Formats: sequence, structure tokens, C-alpha cells
Amino acid sequence: MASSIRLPATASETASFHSFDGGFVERAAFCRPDRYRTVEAAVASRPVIARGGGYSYAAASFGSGSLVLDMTRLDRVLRFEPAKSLVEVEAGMRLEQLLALTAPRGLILPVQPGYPAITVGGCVAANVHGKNPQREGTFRQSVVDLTLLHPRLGTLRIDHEHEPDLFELTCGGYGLTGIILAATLRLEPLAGWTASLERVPIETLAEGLAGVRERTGSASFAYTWHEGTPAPGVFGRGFVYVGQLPEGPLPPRGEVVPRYRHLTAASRRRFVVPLWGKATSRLFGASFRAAEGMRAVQREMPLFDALFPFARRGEYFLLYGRRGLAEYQSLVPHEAASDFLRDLEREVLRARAPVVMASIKLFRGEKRLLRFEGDGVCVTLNLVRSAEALRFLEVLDRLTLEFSGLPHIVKDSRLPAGVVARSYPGYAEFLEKRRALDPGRTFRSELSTRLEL
Amino acid sequence: MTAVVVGASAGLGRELAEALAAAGHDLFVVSSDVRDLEALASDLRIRHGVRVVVLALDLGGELGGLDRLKRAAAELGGPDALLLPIGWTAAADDATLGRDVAERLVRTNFLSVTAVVAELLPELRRRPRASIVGFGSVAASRARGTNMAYSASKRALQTWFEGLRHACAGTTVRVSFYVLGYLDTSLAFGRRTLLPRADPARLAERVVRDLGRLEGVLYYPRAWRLVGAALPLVPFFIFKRLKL
Repeated sequence: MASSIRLPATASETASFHSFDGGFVERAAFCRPDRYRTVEAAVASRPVIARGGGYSYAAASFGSGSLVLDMTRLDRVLRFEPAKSLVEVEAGMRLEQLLALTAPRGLILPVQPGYPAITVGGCVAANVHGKNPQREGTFRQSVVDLTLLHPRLGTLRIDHEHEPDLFELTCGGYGLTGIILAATLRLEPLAGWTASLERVPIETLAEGLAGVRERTGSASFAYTWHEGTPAPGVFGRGFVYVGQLPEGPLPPRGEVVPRYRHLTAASRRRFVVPLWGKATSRLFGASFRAAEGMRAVQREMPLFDALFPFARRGEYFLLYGRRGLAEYQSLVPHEAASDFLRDLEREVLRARAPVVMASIKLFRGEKRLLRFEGDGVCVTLNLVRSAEALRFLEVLDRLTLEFSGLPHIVKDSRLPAGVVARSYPGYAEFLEKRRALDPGRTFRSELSTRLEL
Repeated sequence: MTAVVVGASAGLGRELAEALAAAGHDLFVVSSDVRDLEALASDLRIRHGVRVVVLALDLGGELGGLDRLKRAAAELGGPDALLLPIGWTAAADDATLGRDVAERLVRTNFLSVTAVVAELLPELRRRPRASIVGFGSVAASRARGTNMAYSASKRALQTWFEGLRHACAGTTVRVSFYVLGYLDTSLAFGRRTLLPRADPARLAERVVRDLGRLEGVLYYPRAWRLVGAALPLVPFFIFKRLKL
């Protein structure tokens, strides 16, 4: 009798959810479980999608009428074995929480995407990359096993030996294979807490590519920053940044994560009017280059700032205003990279596209399923979101397809299904396996609907 | 110090466990689902290096197995503080509430607390200094048609704690009772609230800071003392129109 009463009440609220790029917004019901049985009750009842920090540029954690399951309260450490370099955490744990635990013990997660409030579950679902994917690969390479909740299969512990297909599908599966409850992660030794950053000036994208190719192998990480202003002689100017992590003292407990204001997809929209424009981008680019030129060529900084350069510089995203930004990330094979960059520059200058900045880094990995991964060069462009910018993204789609590249699914809230189907060789395989696993599409988001998954 | 937290795996209880562990106190945590308890215990042991003993008990059920409380508490050397942030609300707590749900509401919010205190009070009285902390609700100041059994059970609890404080006067046990406004926990989640919900982590820090220092009836957030005092004075012809 009394045992038939469902506890606790699985109440939901409604809220407006925004993709981080500002391109998609939807009002949706959401709940924020802090008990396992609440998660189970939510999954059993309706179409649902898990949400972590909500930092995906595409609407991967809401949309299509799904109940949004905010996993951030499930953020506990379940197991920590420093001697084996292993840690098991719940999916809602933020990277900064994990770093605060492991760094004082001389351990670190090798792959750290760009913002510290991203959750572990989000990292698995998007198979994110860090500062040096050429050396570290992508997030899935740090995942030892996952605890996954699926309404039909129950709660499963999956890894390369148990349910290997499901494990593969879940790493980079955009939350469409079930609710990731927990992950066991492999850590690597952390030598010190100070990063050394060297700056090398460059004049073109091609020089940037040559620079990262030359330095990535010997550095902890290497990437470029390029001015985006679409003017000859200006577009592509910038720096190669080469980072090393020398040995040194480890951070004391409680001093790993500095105080900073969390930027969210909703708070990013604080400025109504965008302050980035062609004139301001050019002014910023020139000022930034001048300011960098006055600093020492080599400087040291806390590792936190090197790992998460935008955590304490959130203004960069605020300046895009309520309308938001458009980011395009394309992973092109090494042999096509030079030609891709040449054509990219030509198209930017021809269209006078509202690019704010560009960046390059190298990648290593296996092209499979819907993972943004492979051997090649990753090129990123940030644009002021406008009709003009969205038209230019279609040019970038065409270039990416022409050079056998991959567009990054979670970086672009508009990416059409046709482009993904043509560029990702594993699209059909993912679709088939996903349909076999979840024919009723229990797990769905705007992203999954748009990509016809 | 060793603290017992009943209702520890979620909401305010979890925040209290976190604040106590962060202050270096060993813990004995009680809740209904062993999975949540194990996860909480691992987390607190790893991050704060404290000892944590868990006990899964469904205190909204038949209230059996309470003797296990005493045995488990003894594993940590006896409790110095007993915190009881246990509570539950039903979705439709009106005049048609079924007997099963009404009984569970009263057991969870009131009888479970009295039973746990009865079990551990002799141990607490043997400690040189000890504290018992209960948690009520401003909702008990004046019942509405949408939270009838909940406010009745919380009012009963507040009255019972008055008696408990009286009973413990002159002993080493200090009794405090927090009357809470809206908190940002699952109890308030999905409900329209007239005033903003307070952060349970901040409340937990305050409770731990004031453990053994303050006693009697305390309000959190403090402004809710005014709300609690004013609500019974509102004429019924106005009160019946209020959407709280």
C-alpha cells in the first residue's frame, strides 16, 4: 500500500533554454534530480534529454519537446585511486571540481575542453577535445567505463569489453543512447601548476599551420590565434602559442580554481546589442596584437588560465550580444589543409565575412560514427551572428565537403543533416545503431531532430 | 565530533552533510536509498577525509529497524549532534488526500523525527555537549488548502520541539529548531513561489556554524520571521485570496 507511493515527487519546471551560440531557443520542462530514483522516474515517463553545463553551441541538451534532465546535482566523487590514476565521478561533476580534487594529488585529466564548468557527462556525450588533440586524442580515450541508464536495458556498466558497441556509441553519442550517470576516467601525472606560454608572431594562416606543425610535437600544446577582419594583409595575422608544463610545485587544496563568474548560455546574452562588428573586430585585433607585442615573448601563468583561457575573459562572449555568435569548426585531412586554408582566406575576403577570429590546431584520431575526430587540422572561425554570417557558414559547409573535412556538430546550431550525412562516414552506422537501441526515440534534442537521428 | 544526519542524501540534508564533512566532522548518514547514501559517503570520504557510516531506512514507512541507528552511531563513537532535515510534500495535499499518502506525510515529517530522537536521546545525554536540530516550515504558520497534511505535520513537529527543548533544559543537550522559508530544493521545485528560494548550502553553513551555540526557534531566511508572524494575522477574507 504505502510502498506504491512514488517518492520523491518528480516535479518539473519550465524555463527557456538557449544554445550557447544564441542561435536556438526553446522553452522546455526541466527537472533537477539529486537522487537516482528521480532520474529513473524521469526517464520512464517521457521523451527526455540529459543536460550538463549547457555549453554546447548547438541545442544538444534540450528541444523537440523533451524533458530536460539537469544532471548538475549528481556531481559526487564515487572512487578515487591515485595509485592507479583512476577516478570515478557522477556525470554532473564539472571539470573544475574534478581538477580541484586531482591537481593537489599530482594528477590531471589529459583532455580539458575550453570552459571549466563543462560537466564530465557533457564531455563524454560530445567527445570533446582539449588543447592538444594531436597528442592526447579526444575525451573518449580517457574514459575507462560508463554507468548508463536506459529505460529498456536498465542501469548498465559499459566499457570496451562489456557492451562495447554501446560504449562506442555513447562516447560522442550526444546523449542519445541513455542517461550517463557516472564515468571512470584515466588521469595522467601533473608535473606542476605553472604553464609556460611562448608567443610566435605570424602573418598568415599558412604560417600558422606551419608553426603548429613544427611545434606541436615538442610542446604540451600549440595553437594559433588569427585576426579575423576580412581585409587583405590583416586576415590571418596573429600568433602561434606554444605551451609547456614544466615541473614545479603542485597547487594547495582550495587554491586550484580561482574565483570567476560563471558564464552560462543564458547569461551570455546579457548585452542586448552586439559590440563586435567589422570596425570593433579590427580595432580589437590591432590592439590585441599591439598589447601582445609589448609583453614578454615567453610568460608564465597558472595552469587554470592556460587550460581555460575564457573562464576569466567571459567578456569576449558577452560582446556578441543577445543575437550571439556563429562558430564553425572544420577538421580537414593533413594533405588538404593548405589548400583548404588558401580557399578559406579567399572566400572570407571575397564575402567580407564578419569573422572576429580564427584558430588552428592539429588533431589525431579515428573517424568513426559521429565523432569529431580524425587525423588532420582543426580550423575554427568565430563570426558575429547575422544573416550574412549564416550565409557564409554555407560557404564553409561547401568548402568542408570539398576538402573531405568534418564540420563540428556541437559547435554549430544550424548545421544541416545533409552536410553531416555527407561529411561523416559513420552517419549511417550511427543512425542504424541508434534506431536499434532506441526505436521510440526516448532520448531526443533539437540537435537529434535537426540531424534526423 | 560525530554528527547524525537523517534525510542526508538530497536537498538540505546533503548540504548539511557536506558542510559538516568540510568542517572535519565524522558522519552517520541516514536516508531511504542506499545508492544515494553510498555515493554521498564516497564523495565525503574522498574529498574531506572524514569517516562516514551509512544506514538505509525508509522513515516514511513502518519505522522499523530503528535499533540499528544506535548500533551504527556507536561505530563512530556515539553522536554529538543529531540533525533532522527530513521532509516530504505530496503533489496534491488537499482535503481529498488518501490515507496512505497522509500517513506517509505524517510519518516522514513528524513521527520519524520523534522516533529517531527517542532512540538516540539517551546517547546524546551522555555526551559532554550535544545538539539536536529540527527543521520546520513557515507553511506551518497557517495552513492552506493545498498543503494541509504537510503544514499540520510541520506544526506538530514545531510544538514537539518546544517540548523537547523543555525536556532537555538543564542537560548537556541543546535543542534548536529552524523554521524555513522557500529553499531551492526538490521540495519547492516545480512549485510557484511568492518569494525567491534560498540557497540550502548557505543555510547548511549557518547551521553548522551555530551548532551548539544557538538554541530555540530560528528562522531562515531571517526575514521569514516577519512572514511567519504576519500570516496568522491576515484576515481570512484576504488570506483565502492569497496564492502563496
